[in-house]
Amino acid sequence: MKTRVVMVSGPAGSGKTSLVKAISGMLGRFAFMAADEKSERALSGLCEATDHFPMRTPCARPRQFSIRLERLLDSHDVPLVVSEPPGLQGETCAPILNPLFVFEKEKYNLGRLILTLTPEDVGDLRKNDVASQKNRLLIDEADVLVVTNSDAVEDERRPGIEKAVRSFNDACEIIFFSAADGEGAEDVARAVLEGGYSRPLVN
Amino acid sequence: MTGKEAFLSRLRMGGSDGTPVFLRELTLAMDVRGVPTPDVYGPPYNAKLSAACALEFHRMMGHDALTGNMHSYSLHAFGGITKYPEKGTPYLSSPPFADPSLMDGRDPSEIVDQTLEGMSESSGIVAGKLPGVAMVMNVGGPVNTAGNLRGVEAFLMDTMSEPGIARDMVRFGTDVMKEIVSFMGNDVYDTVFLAAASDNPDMLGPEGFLEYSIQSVKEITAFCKDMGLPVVFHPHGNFSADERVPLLYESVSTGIAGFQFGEGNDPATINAELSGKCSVMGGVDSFTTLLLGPDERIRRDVWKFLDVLEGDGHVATCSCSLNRGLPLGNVKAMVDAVRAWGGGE
Repeated sequence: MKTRVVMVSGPAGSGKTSLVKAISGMLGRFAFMAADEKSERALSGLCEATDHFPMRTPCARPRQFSIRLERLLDSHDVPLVVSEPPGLQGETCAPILNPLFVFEKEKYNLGRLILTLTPEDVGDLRKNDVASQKNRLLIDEADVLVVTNSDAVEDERRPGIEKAVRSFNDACEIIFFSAADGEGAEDVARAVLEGGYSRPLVN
Repeated sequence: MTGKEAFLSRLRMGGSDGTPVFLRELTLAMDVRGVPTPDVYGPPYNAKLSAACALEFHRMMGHDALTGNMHSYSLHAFGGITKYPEKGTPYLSSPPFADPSLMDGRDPSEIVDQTLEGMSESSGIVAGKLPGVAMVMNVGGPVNTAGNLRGVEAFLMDTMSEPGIARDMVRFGTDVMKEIVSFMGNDVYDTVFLAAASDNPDMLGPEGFLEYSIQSVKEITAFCKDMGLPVVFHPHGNFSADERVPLLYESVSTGIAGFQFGEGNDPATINAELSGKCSVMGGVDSFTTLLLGPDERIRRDVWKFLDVLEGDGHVATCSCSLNRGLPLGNVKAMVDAVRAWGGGE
């Protein structure tokens, strides 16, 4: 049976690890691949196995992802791997997932590419700085956008956030999520467990 | 005008009849013949098989500039462990100077080993068979080399906690680069290409990029110029955001002849800022457009880049090197799209 692999991307501090931690009880048996040791520790004891990526040169990220994934699954027979991307946490993820999709589709069932951004990240999308340029690229490739820290976003601000996202991706599912009050947690868990990687394949 | 003449003219910011295409076929050409990676890399490195792969790849693609050998950074010369997957790309699984004290007593000239000799021989064979094609020497950039020697994560930690070690690694790496250029020489090669994914302001920060990359690129560029070899610099990272544009100027100030931008940059900004200052290279994403296809998407994306970039000084490339597994038909579709742009064919 194929292992389901779900990537949760997003800039540093956007809430990737907190998101996975918050929904860990809804995912059944799974393993977590973290961007670094600190994130790995955060999921320790909440899932069946954890590992993290040492920093490598950007060109090596796709190969590194494939090798670490295989190593993890060699020692742990889990049906689901939730993974942060290797690298700088601002780089796009399609270059990592596409080789898996093309060369290892018999082994892996790629789930939707989930992106986390804070409301502030979305508010800055039109800026021409490094972070905003990268966030635009991350939105463009995402199947699901999770707006984190939603407890700090009043209802009247939400349509504006959705509109800003839609200028760069008119197809992704948008979920408002709060680790503090649990808003959106079930929707995020469903996004992890259902649906397939698609946006970069048709974009 | 031959492909070589067109490529070199564009490197001098001149024009040519059509857009020259440079494919950095580091390991992909082995797929044309389906040879296992260890058959080329050995040891010993099989120069004749490497050249045969490069030549057959060129027959298929018809590109204007190439590296002419199945590439290895050859850093196993200093220890560590390099792995050669049967059908994959060689990689360092254990860096030679993970323990920095291991650098003591090692000499950069040790890089000239049988692998480098084999790569040089392979390029010589290819150049002899393809006199109308430009030969490009692929050399790891300063931080790329230092990071591979030390391990990227350890190197980045060094820049913060032990900058002396980081500087020593870059010094050693720069001397390694010079040894490679000296050995490979200017008889066969027309250009030096600094493959510099880790010379990356996203990783190093702008200050680190200036300190560790730019100073060394300046040194290596002057060294190559003395040998009559123009240099193309290919750092990764963002150079098109407002706060990063000054790093483009710093890159040009090193004396480079060409700048190839990587993924995630805005080509219009890069072109506007570098136009008239150096040759600009770049193009479709290797891991999305080129990997996935189909031909129509490749053509659409190639033309989008050419619409922005084509003109004196532009050389068409994809975003990064070409390695095993990339569908050969998609690369051919990219070359065909360049040739067909503007009604050329």
